[in-house]
Amino acid sequence: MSQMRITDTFQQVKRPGRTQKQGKSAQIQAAPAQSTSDAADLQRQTEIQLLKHFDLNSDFGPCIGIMRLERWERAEKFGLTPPMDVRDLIVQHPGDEEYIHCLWNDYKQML
Amino acid sequence: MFSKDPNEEGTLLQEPTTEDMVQFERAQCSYENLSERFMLKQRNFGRQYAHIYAVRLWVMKARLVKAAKRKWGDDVCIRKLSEMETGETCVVIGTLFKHMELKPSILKDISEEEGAMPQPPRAKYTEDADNLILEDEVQRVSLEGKLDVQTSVTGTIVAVYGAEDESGRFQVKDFCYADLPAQNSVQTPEEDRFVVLVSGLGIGSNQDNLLELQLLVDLVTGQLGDVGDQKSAANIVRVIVAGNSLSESTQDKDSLTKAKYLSRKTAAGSVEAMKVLDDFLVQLSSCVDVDVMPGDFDPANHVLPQQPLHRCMFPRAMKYPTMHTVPNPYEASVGDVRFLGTSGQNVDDIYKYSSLENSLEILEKTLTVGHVAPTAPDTLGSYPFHDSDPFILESCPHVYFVGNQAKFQSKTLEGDSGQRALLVTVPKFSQTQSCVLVNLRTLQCEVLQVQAAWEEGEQPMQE
Repeated sequence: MSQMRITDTFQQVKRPGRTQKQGKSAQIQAAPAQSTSDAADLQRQTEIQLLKHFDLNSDFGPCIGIMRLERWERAEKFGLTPPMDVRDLIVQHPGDEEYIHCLWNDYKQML
Repeated sequence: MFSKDPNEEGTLLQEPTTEDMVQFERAQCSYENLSERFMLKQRNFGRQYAHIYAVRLWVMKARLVKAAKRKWGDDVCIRKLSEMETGETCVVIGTLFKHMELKPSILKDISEEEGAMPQPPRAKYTEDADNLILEDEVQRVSLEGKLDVQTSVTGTIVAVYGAEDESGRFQVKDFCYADLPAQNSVQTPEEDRFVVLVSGLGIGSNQDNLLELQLLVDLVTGQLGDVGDQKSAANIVRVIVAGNSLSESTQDKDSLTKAKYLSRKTAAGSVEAMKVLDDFLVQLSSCVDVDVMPGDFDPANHVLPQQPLHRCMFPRAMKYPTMHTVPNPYEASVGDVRFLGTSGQNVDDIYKYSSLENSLEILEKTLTVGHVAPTAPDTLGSYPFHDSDPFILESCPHVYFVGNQAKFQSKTLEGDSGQRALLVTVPKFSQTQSCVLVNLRTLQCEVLQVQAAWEEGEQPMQE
């Protein structure tokens, strides 16, 4: 049989989105930059996970309908010793919706 | 006692004298408004009520642990429901929930399968089949045993002592509520000082009892009676109007359903009534401190804590600095004596959802459980607080009153640490034409009734 490749039967079509994305994140820039944004993403994910665990911890009362900082301060007021790093995280990202609101915030309309 | 000074001779019906008229100066008393926690700063009604229950449990839990240790010994084991084992005798602290079939439920009202009309309002929603459930932070358990279902209401925080049986029900052998909070010691004034408690003026209804109200105002301002009466009236330092200054008939529910074009020109019934109320209050506030609390039928918000009536509704009375509009519930310290009271909604709600009949008994119950309105927010409207519960009793009041009740009753309750609280139910003025006078020196109270007409053959009332 002559040399046949799978790509002869199944054409590899370049989809428009792909090149754009790669162009953005940096074909031009060096490879390390891409990994730092990945690392930042990863850190963000872990921080959000920590905050979600704080939300779901029933020791601090209900979490729906109030800001995370308000809930933290309420827990502090009643001597429930909420973890300090949770507060630091919330305070360091003042405008970020994912940090300041509880995890059920997207379903606010349903409540 | 608020009565004629026996040393003064009767001076009515005498010819006018040329000598100087006797002048009496009204007594003064220190005052401090302690109702800051009932004032709403934000108006965020988007929150759920779970927060207020969580806060209530946290605050009361510490007190209940102390009370439980005092009652059942220091070594009694206090367990969470999740840690409890079957058959283990322990103490559990949680919120009571009373399951009532007859309790009005919006879900039943709009449910299609019920078919029938929504339940008509009843005087009491209690039933024999009601049962109690205890909820702590995360779990709940059915209660049976010593804790009486019919006299308990949803929302009270209680510590129960007993064990869980095989069927999963907690058998209550004993229970206790939080101890009465500490009371500030009071320096009673040397002479008689009176505070007038009146409620349910009911202005704006078809039955006019404005003459009796005018008599009362004249008595307080010292324009009624002779020198002896005026001398006694000068000892009145404050008047507290405990709600429902407007009558129920001023709340015209029809205007809500009527078409706008029919009701555009008609003024609300409460406008005229407020003008009449302002007339009375300007007379009172021109010479004595007045605190006006909103009630169920007054133009204020419906849910507790009701915010003070707006100053623009009393254009003339507000010119005097002695006129104050205060929230409901209201707490203040008059001459070091702590007053705490409501306009009656908390007691009326407990009446509907328990078998208790006597208002004084219900008032005593709220003091015993340490919460002014335990049924809020379940059946009594409440603002959705999220980080505080202002209805929890922080310190034991000296005078604990409730307005708009059927009749006058009073009792002195004694606590374990020497607290003494005077419980007073203030009757509706529109029905009984009476008000209550509290003597700050003796912490006793008496009722004062004004009558404008005598029936045939009736004897004049003895004071």
